[in-house]
Amino acid sequence: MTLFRGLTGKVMLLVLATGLVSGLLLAHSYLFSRGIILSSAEDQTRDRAEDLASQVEGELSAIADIAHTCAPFVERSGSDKAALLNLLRTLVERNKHIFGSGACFEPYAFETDSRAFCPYFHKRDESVEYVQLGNDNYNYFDKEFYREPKKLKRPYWSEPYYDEGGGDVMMTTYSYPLFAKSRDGSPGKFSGVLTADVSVQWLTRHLASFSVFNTGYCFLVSGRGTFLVHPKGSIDDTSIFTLAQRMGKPRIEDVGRRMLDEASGFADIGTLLSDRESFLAFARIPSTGWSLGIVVPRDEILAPLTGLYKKQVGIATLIVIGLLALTLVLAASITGPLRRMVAVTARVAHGDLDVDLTDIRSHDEVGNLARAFQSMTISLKKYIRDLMEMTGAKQRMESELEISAQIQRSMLPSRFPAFPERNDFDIYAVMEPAKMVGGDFYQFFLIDEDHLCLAVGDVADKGVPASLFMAVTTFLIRVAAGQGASPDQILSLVNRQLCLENDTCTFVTIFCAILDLRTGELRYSNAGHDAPLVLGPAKDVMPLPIPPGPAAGLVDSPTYRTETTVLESNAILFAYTDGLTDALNEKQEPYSDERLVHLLNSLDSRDVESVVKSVKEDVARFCGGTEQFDDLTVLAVRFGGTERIQ
Amino acid sequence: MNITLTRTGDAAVIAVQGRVDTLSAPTVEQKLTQWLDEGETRMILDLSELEYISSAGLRTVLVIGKKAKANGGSLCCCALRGMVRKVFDVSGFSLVLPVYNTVDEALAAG
Repeated sequence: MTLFRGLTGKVMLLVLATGLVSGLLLAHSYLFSRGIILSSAEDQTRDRAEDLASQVEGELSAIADIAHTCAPFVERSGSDKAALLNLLRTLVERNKHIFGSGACFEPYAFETDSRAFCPYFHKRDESVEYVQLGNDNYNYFDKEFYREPKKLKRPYWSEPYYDEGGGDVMMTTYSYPLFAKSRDGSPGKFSGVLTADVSVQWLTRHLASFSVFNTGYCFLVSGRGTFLVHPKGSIDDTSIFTLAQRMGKPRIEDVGRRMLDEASGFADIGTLLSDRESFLAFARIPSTGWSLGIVVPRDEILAPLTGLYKKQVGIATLIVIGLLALTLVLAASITGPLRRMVAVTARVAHGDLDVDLTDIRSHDEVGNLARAFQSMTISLKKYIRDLMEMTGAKQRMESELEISAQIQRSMLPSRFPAFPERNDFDIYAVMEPAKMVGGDFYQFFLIDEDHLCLAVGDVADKGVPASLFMAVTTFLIRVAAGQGASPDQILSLVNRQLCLENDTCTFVTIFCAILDLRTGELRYSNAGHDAPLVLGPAKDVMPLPIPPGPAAGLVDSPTYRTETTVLESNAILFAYTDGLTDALNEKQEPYSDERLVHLLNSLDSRDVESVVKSVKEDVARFCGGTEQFDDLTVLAVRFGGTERIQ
Repeated sequence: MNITLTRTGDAAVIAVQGRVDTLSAPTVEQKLTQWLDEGETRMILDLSELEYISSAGLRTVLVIGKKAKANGGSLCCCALRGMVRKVFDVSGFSLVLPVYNTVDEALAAG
């Protein structure tokens, strides 16, 4: 169901679910209302059937009344044939509901000379015709309309019959029995019947004029189940029972019996009498014993309800469709920008930050998101630009530092052997900066043929400022020594220069010495630096006793003093910075003076390069993986001896 | 490295413990500068538990000392021991800053 995975689909699903729930509620309400309406349908239709039955009853009793009214005149007419015929003709002419009327007498009862006498008037087209039924072709004595009232001695409605030789139509006849007057006034002898005919055609038309709901209709059965007015679709059948037989539906027979037995009733007859599900209600017409049935389609009863619910379902459907459309529009207004942001995010992820979401102007959360996203990309762009600038600056700085380091290294004598033409002394030195550019330095140079100036120092700073300080210091030392200054004078000069404008409080510790290469006399002075060690020819390591003196750059006019000692032949002066003795191992223990002295004691070689390298290796071994945090400088000079090889 | 300030009268006794080297010196400088800016004038550095101080650390002390002086205040060190005392002596720092044997001496000297 990928359709419902998106936001749009989910909201649409919600709307559809709401619609479904409403639909179920509507269906439930429909079924409930339908139940109520159906239960009231019985009363409605039965009332209507009774109402119609009483109307027909009224019509028929009006006809019966006429016969009843006229009967005494016929009885009293004696044998006045003209008066009788006149009465009968008037009866038919004046009563539009009466199809025909006759007076049939017992043999010789009206005219003593005729055995069968039955004058009969009936309508034909617009006129009234006369026929004397007492003829050989029409034996009225056997007819139901004569036989039954004679037998019952009371008025009688006949079963419908085709009056061949009489009215020549389907009809039913009301027969009022006539009696000859006896002299004492007691009921006389039956003398004949006065009849009033009702044509079935008229009855059918009359019943058709009744409205039975919209498409319902009436039918009429006689007391024996014969159809007076046929229900639709049963024209071929004479009675309700033949209909039941022909259609093979015994239930029709049941219904028919009920109609004959009960004064009124109701039955759900389903599709017994028509294609549509229908109800049947019936009511007896008392005077005739007939039963009037009405057939009402079930859906007609339910029509108002169905109409209402059709409207409601229609409205609900429209609402759901409308909501779906609205959802689509709303969801599009949300998902549209979201999809754009997804696309833009993918572009941003690929490094394209030139996105423009400013056209998303909605003031909802999506709009806020878009604006936040826009400002994020702007910040990102700025950040990346800054970063690139910074990286550029850093690279520049690093390259500058690299250049500074190169300059610094170039300022320290780094070619060894430094004096290959001299065999009266050896010198070797290393400086390993902790950062790219260190604050440590060493310096050595020949002042003249016989005097070697050397210095080791540590600037109390790191990086470029330290290297500048260092450059100044080494330069000052060279200048001062070149002018023949003594070590203390050199330090005083350096101090004086460094104290000028020293806002950063940078200071330098310096050990400075001048070695007389002819005698081994070492004149030295110290500005706050660690005492160098002297390795005697007999493996004795001693610190050089150093005079007190503050680091250069600390105080304006310090007192430096020059001390003098004499190096034995093959003795080594070992100067270093605290980066050596303070180097830490992984346990944060310093390398220490003791370890250095111990190592130097253990060395057999008096070659300066191997001494320096041994020390370096030992420190490296001691430190293990610990990062070097301070510059490390070592300088070793070996005095060759007083007996110089020329 | 650990640095804490304890007020004693008008003096701020600042105990610096552990190692002050190239890496931790900027932290010390920043802390001391902050206290200076907050108005501390008389600062006594109690270095009795300081194990190691590098030249960068010394320079930091010097910078703060100068700043304190410029603010009309003072900075002194006390209770130096072991390697720290050696560094102070060798570098000649004892000549630049007042150094006392104990905190009490430093307080009394104020």
